[in-house]
Amino acid sequence: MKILEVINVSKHFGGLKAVDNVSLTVNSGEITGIIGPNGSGKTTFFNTVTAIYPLTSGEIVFNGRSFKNIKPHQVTNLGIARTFQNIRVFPGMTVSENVLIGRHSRMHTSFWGTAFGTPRTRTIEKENREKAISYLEFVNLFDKKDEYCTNLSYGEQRRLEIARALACEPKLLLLDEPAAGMNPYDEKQLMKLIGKILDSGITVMIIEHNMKVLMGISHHVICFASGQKLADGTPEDVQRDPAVIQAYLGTGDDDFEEEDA
Amino acid sequence: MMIKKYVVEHKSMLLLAALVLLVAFPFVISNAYYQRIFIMIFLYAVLAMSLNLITGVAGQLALGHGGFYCVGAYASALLIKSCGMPFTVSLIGAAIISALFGLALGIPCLRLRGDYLTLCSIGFAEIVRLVALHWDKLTGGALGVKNIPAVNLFGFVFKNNMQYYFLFLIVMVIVYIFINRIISSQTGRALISIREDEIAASAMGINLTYYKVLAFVVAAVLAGIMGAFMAAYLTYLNPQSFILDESFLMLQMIILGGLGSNFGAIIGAAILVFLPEAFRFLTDYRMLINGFLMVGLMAWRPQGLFGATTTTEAIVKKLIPPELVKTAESRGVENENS
Ligand SMILES: Nc1ncnc2c1ncn2[C@@H]1O[C@H](COP(=O)(O)OP(=O)(O)OP(=O)(O)O)[C@@H](O)[C@H]1O
Ligand SMILES: [Mg+2]
Repeated sequence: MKILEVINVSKHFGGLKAVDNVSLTVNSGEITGIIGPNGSGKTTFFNTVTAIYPLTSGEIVFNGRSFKNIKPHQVTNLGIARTFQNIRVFPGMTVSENVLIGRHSRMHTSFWGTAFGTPRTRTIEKENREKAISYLEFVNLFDKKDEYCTNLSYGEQRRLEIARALACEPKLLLLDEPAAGMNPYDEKQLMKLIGKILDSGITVMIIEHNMKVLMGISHHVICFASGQKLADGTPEDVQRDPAVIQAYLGTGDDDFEEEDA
Repeated sequence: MMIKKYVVEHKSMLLLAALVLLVAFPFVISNAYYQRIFIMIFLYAVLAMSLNLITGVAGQLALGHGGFYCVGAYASALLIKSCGMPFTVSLIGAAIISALFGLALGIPCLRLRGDYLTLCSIGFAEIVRLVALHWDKLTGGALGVKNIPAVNLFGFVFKNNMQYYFLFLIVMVIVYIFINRIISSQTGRALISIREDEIAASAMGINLTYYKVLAFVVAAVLAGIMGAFMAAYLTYLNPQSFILDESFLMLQMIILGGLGSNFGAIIGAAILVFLPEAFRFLTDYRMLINGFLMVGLMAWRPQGLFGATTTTEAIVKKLIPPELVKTAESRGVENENS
């Protein structure tokens, strides 16, 4: 069953075709991996799906609903959450407050309720603080819950972003290079974590340069090059696709060869 | 540092002690001049706390807070004088009119980024003042509004400084508690997340438009209400009281107290109301003291007395054109990856 359908989507910045006429589908209950050389439009593609950039043309359908004139927060409400390639945790907040922000779209206190500190508001607040902690336990960051996120290591900040995104209770989770800057041990933990996320019923899309991580966990891989979709299929098919190998060699990006060797 | 740590640890006890002292103060010192200084401190503390909600908490550097204060003062005074309304009704009227101005400024400002928002809000405050100055028929022009009746709350007429002292003190305490509640609630967290990172906030399901406008409207209402109280307390009003320096002073207060800190806003207001009085003997040069204070603060404690460094950084970052931030970030990412 398809959860996300992208139809002829383009995103142009002036003359630059960052995403150009891309169509693809994502099946629910699967991990869909996205690869592509630097600057091939992977992050821009995520930004169009989450409505951070309006589309130049095309259509996005999520769970049978078309995303027309939609704002990023509405995308989250409908069930898509994401992490960022250039980590975007909230530095002035503690780790657990960061995750609590993720609860925003799922908790409903009123302005006046908070101003008067009504019992209902306090109950909602307490429940969601507990939920936030449970997401921290899920990504193994419980010990750090009261730290400021500036004190977290790079890999921990990436996991915090995942916890924060999970706190939005998404149906589809978009991960933008979650393993970047991680050591091999952290990478392994991350792969396990992504497996757990899938088991909990969340569909995952992941952008990753690290072929070992990506090919190992993906059910379905899509390769981008210069804003266009170059290949789309099982990890094995995509890995052997001559156009894909050409795209990587052509840009001098050696990730791919390293993994083949 | 040590002072801050001590204050944080013993916060509620210290606050209670301060409150007891403030309640006892007018009974011990009956000098009207000192009572007046404290009334001004309470007044500016509320103005600073409300501006802090927009600038320190939500991270939108607005520089026209005096505009809302002016609107509230004139709205209330004119509703009483020209329409013959009782004070309580005029207070509600002032709150509603200020809220409308908050909406009117908040909505277009959402489309503006950083420094443009700042310029736009300065323009707003100046327009409000110039309208008050030149629309003689409505506002009395440069002469202002005179003989504004005293504050009258449900039949109780405020007569002397002592009564006003307690009125302003109570208002300040209520606003302090109210804003503290907002800051530690879901609403406050949403505002803080907007300050820290708008893109991440919107990706977490936060409606940026709604929360930014909310901050503007709440702050405008509070400033407007203070305008109404101030007009009735002073019994006269003129546009000279709402020059841009007023807005700058409010910003200075929250920078000194520490952007984002509700308590800091009160301390900032207290220091900056008190200083010019303490240095009265310097006559015209006493404003220099403010300048030295701010320069010293920037050198030794740029985050203000009770602020966090990350807060100030986040707010300053919004003033830098996004292209520059972007190149800096992408450079950072490259470094991290290599
Ligand atoms: N906001 C923007 N304005 C202008 N150009 C942009 C913008 N965002 C991205 N681009 C450009 O679009 C192209 C695709 O960028 P994108 O970040 O999507 O690539 P990517 O595949 O994620 O690369 P990487 O692997 O380095 O993360 C690049 O040429 C980039 O410079
Ligand atoms: Mg990218």
